[in-house]
Amino acid sequence: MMNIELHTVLTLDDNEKYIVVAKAEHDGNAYDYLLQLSADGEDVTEQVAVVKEEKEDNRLYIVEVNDKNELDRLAPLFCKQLEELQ
Amino acid sequence: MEREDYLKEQIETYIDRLDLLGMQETIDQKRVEEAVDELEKLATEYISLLDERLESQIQGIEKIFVVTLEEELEKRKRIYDVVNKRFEEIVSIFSDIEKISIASDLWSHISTVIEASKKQVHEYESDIKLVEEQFIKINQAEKKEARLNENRRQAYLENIDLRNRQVSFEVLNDEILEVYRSLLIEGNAEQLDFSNIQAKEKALKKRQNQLLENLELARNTKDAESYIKVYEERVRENRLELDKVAEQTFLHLLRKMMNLPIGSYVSLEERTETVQGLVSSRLSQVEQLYQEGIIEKEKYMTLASRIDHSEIYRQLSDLKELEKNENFINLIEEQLEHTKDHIKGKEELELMFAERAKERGRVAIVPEPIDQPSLLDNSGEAEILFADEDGFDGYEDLTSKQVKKDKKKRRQVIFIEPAKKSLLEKFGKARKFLLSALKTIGGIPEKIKKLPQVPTKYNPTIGDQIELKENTSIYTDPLDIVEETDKKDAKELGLTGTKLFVTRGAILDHTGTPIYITTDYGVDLETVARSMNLEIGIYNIALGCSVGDSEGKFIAVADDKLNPNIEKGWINAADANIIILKQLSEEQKKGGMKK
Repeated sequence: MMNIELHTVLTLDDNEKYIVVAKAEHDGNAYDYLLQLSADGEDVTEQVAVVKEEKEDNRLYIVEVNDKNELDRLAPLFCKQLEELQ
Repeated sequence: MEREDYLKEQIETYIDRLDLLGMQETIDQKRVEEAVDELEKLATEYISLLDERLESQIQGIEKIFVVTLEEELEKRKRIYDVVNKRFEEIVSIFSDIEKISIASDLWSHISTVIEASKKQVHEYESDIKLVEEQFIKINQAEKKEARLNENRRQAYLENIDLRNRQVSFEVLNDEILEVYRSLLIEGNAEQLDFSNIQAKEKALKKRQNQLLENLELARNTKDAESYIKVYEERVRENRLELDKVAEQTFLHLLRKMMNLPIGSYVSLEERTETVQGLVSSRLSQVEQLYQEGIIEKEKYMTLASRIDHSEIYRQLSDLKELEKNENFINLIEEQLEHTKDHIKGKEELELMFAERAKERGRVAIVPEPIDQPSLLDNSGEAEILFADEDGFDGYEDLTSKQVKKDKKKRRQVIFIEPAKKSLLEKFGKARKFLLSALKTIGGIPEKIKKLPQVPTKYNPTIGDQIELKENTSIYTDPLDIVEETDKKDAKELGLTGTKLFVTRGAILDHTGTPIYITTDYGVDLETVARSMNLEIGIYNIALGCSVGDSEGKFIAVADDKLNPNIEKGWINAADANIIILKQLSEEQKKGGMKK
């Protein structure tokens, strides 16, 4: 079973690629802050997304988090990690 | 250059003199010795001058900071060219001495110098070969990478197919249970009492033995034929009863198996194997009865068609294939991590060249990176994606950017790989943007600042109104621009505020000597440099900077030295800290303004 680690590149079923720039755990769930990559995976774009990890039947899925309250809780956790990166 | 030309001329004169002295009927030994002595002194000084010039040229080129291996190769070729040129100069001026027999001792000395110079040429040629070797290795590594990537892609796609046709063990178990459920219902399996079945089986087997025994006895009676018929019919009937018991036993065991809790594919497989054994054994029994004509063919066919475990075996086989492919992908990724391990990168080469310089008795120079694209690069190939940490170019107006929030459903992650170093660097530089974007999407109550826009190209021209950031390097001597020494403080020189102007432009050669100075409005010094056939990377453009008049207006200057009353210092046109506030209009540029 694959695991999403920090600073790894994810390829999704529609072939979009993202780099994991920060990770957080909240209420027993794993969340990732993703930065989309160019089609060839060589460059970063300006698209970002906060996603929740879901595992099912030996498969790994991500679901975009759009709920404002949930994002408000997660943002400080991601911020902290990114600030520590300096 | 003048001294060099003078020495060259003198050397040629003395070589001619020695040649002529050698052609005299009587050799004037004293004059020969005087000429040889003089020539030796001139040669020593001339070679020394060439050495100094060569060292300065090599250092000038070595200081250039390059980004790519292509640029490193270009750099090494340039060094080779100057070393080879020096060798050719020595050969061209001194080779005639070899023919003069009376100067054999001098030739012996000169030839040593020529040989040393030739050796030096070969050494620098080997530097080029070292870089070229890396290109060959890169090419080989890239071919290998392409092959590995293709294998990885194939395994990848296969796994997508495998995953798409996978069903969970629960779903598969339900499907299997459904097949057996009807069989168990038909056979009333829930109502069966196994101890009764066993007792019945025991009684039927005993009766079967008795009937078979009686059948044998019947064969020896007078009316054998009718007895045999009776007992054969009884044996057949009893066998059918025994088969009913066998069917009940099968159904009882099958029910037990079907009631087992299944928590994984492993337990599903174990149960399936047991059931497979049961079914197989039951089928053998039925088949035997069919062959003996005791039961109908249909019963056998129905049972066989109901019991099909191929799907579970396919699922299990797919799981194994998935795991195999994942291991294969991991193996490929490990290999991909190391395909370029044996290739020397630019930094490694730089250290090697520094080491080689020491071995050659020279001062080792490792160029320091600067905040600009490589000086050798004029094509934009060595693109710097993010201008700097504070000014994240391209994300200047975050508030106007649409942070991606599409309502996509759940998406499957089909592949995870470690990010390449180059990608991590780019992401690292985007950190500020990521933080700001997070504040936007996360609603952190902090006003998003508009990040300053950093110009991507710095090409100020004379007459431009500029501003210098605090860390701009300012010099009072253009030579210092090349050596990056003796930097001055903007405040001390009065070069602060937003009313500064570019008053003068100069193109400097690699030693820092101005080779072109202009005070004309709107002159594009890059174009001038190219028109002078100057090679990119071996010149710098210096800009004289003024504070304007009391009203803050541009003051034109005319002479070729800084006018301390108007101009305060020189800046490197390539300095990323210059901000052009107001450029000259095209009309002003066209009009020019010769002063």
